[in-house]
Amino acid sequence: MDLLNEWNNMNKEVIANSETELAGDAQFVKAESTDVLSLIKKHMRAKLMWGRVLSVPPLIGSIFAEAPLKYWLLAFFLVYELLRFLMLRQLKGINYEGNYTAPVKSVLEEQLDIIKKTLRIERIWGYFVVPMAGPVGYVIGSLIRGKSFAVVLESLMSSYTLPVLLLLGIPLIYLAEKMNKYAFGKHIDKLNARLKEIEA
Amino acid sequence: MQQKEFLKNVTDNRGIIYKIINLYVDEEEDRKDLYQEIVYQAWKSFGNFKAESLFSTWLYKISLNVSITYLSKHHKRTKLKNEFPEAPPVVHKELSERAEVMYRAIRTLNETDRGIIMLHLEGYDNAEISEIAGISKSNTGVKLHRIKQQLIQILTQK
Repeated sequence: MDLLNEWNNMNKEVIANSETELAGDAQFVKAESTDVLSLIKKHMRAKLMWGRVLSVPPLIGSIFAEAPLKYWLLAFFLVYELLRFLMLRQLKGINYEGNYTAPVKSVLEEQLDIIKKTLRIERIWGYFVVPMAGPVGYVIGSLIRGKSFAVVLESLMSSYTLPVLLLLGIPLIYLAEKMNKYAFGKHIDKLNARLKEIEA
Repeated sequence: MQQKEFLKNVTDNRGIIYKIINLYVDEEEDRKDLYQEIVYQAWKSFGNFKAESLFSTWLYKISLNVSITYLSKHHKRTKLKNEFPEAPPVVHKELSERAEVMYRAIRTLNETDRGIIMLHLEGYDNAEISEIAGISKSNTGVKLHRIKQQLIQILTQK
């Protein structure tokens, strides 16, 4: 069995077929990549945009509200923006370009590393932001309904309200993890499988 | 100027891209997407291409890396089709029976092995393959021997 001969015969046909199928696109260079690194970059941009969408209304509210609600809304905005900024700074340290001219094994390792690093950053900041949202939302909601700050704070601290609100963050974090697994699980599995294959 | 030079090089070497695409995806939509992704990544890296190395080797490397990390939008269907020989045969568009047998035999290999055997059949020596794959020369030799045995076994069974 002459493998080289069979290979060349097959490729003659493959190239001829591809010419008719793909030649129209031969001169076309698409505007942006659809690789996993671009996907995760887009994913993080969307998350950061949602962070902004959630933090701007309290800022607008603080302009019209009276103290102490005004300060709570302002504090909420500043804390979320600070966390958003810190997360963005960490993400900016990651190079999402990907070096496809490197050896195959390095490319696989690099992509896995970038995905894991990004999701880790998101998870860590999620642990800060998500549980905080419940208690802060509770205080702001109560203040909007006209309760005094002292009453709101007392009800928050003296009952199970605070732990319950903090615990509400757990299913949300779980949900976010599930969403990330849905979005990137297949990519991670594929890269891991390829890495195992090449190392075998 | 650089774009013209790039497009000329890609056009002259597009057979490389066709061969690699053929090894990794079936669906027409995926083939087009993968083709464009390879060209896009090659264009993005073209500034770093050193004229003293061969454009074809450079393009093989990029095409392989993009294809191996590419996740098909029709992943489930592709996976099913790969369960050769139990799965129903993949009838590749307009391939002769003989070429189809070779194509199906190569598609039974795992994705990295497909790349390694392709480089070997394209005339790259073990040192060059080990550099492109990022594995040791001895491991490349062992892998190649195993892959060739596997392929010959499948092809002679047919």
